Amino acid sequence: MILDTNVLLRALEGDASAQGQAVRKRIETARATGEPLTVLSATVLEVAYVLESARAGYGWDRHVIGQAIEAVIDEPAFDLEHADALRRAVTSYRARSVDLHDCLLSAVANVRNTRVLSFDEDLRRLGSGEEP
Amino acid sequence: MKRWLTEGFGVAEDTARRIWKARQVLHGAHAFDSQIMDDLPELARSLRAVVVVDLKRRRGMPDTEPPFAAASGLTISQHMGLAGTAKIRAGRRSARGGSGTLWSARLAIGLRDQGSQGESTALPYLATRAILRVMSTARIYKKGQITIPKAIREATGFDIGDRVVVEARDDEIVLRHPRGVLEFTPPHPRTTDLSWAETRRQAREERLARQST
Repeated sequence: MILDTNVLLRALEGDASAQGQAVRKRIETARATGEPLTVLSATVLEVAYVLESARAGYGWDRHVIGQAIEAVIDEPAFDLEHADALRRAVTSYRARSVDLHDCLLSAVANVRNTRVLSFDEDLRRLGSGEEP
Repeated sequence: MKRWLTEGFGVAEDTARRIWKARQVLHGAHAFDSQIMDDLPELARSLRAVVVVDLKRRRGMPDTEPPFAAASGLTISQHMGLAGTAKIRAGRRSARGGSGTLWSARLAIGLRDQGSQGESTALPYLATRAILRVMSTARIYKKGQITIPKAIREATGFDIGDRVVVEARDDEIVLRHPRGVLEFTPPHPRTTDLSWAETRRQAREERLARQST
């Protein structure tokens, strides 16, 4: 089963809503049965920017978003794409005001010992960017 | 720091000096010294032994007391310089950190004396980790039930009634503190009740507005 962004958001919101309760129950069952719940990196990135948004009802600060993403990475029921790179990405995301997407590109580049082809200033600041 | 190693644990003066120097080099306070880096594995062994003794003292265990079967190797944070710090709490029975980590050792060279007991302390780059293996045996009863010996529970910070993650790894069973999304607490309740489509639209617009400034 693959999880969508809204499901992940509900899980992180706690059990204040009925949807939140349903999602958490599902995760609890998956923990017990070992059914893998797959989370794609694209979904994690979207979770981060929705949580940044005050207009969407969140507006969490970077540090807390970092903790939330780490909880997703550490969730025993989840099967994550690029878990190691994401963990590193969260570290740099917390430390500076750079998009998590850029942090992930930079982290994957580091893991693979390569660079990121980009015109983005932020990637240069992260030490991985290189202009074509 | 050097005195703490020599007087507190009987580390040879020269070894203590080199451990300190290694820390300074990793920290960037000293010029790179390849000799010190080559010596690191050897220095780390002394450091690990000190951490284990220190842990026993902090836990009020006599030096000779079992079960203290073995400690695994000492690792140096992979995130040196990137994630140079980690929070640990002093005075707690155990740090509920990564799997099986008892204390991300306070050996945390150089910062040992900062921060009073009971407060969190930042670990610097040469964060060393002593993973202690406390061993004991138990029997599996009907319905697969097992009693986890008290020493093991105490060493790992599990209490009666706690939830645990039970993980199978090859022919081993690993019990861990759960640290996933179910254990995460949001900073505040959500302030809107938008549909998902609307939530996404708002978040995208806000993000675009931020990026264009």
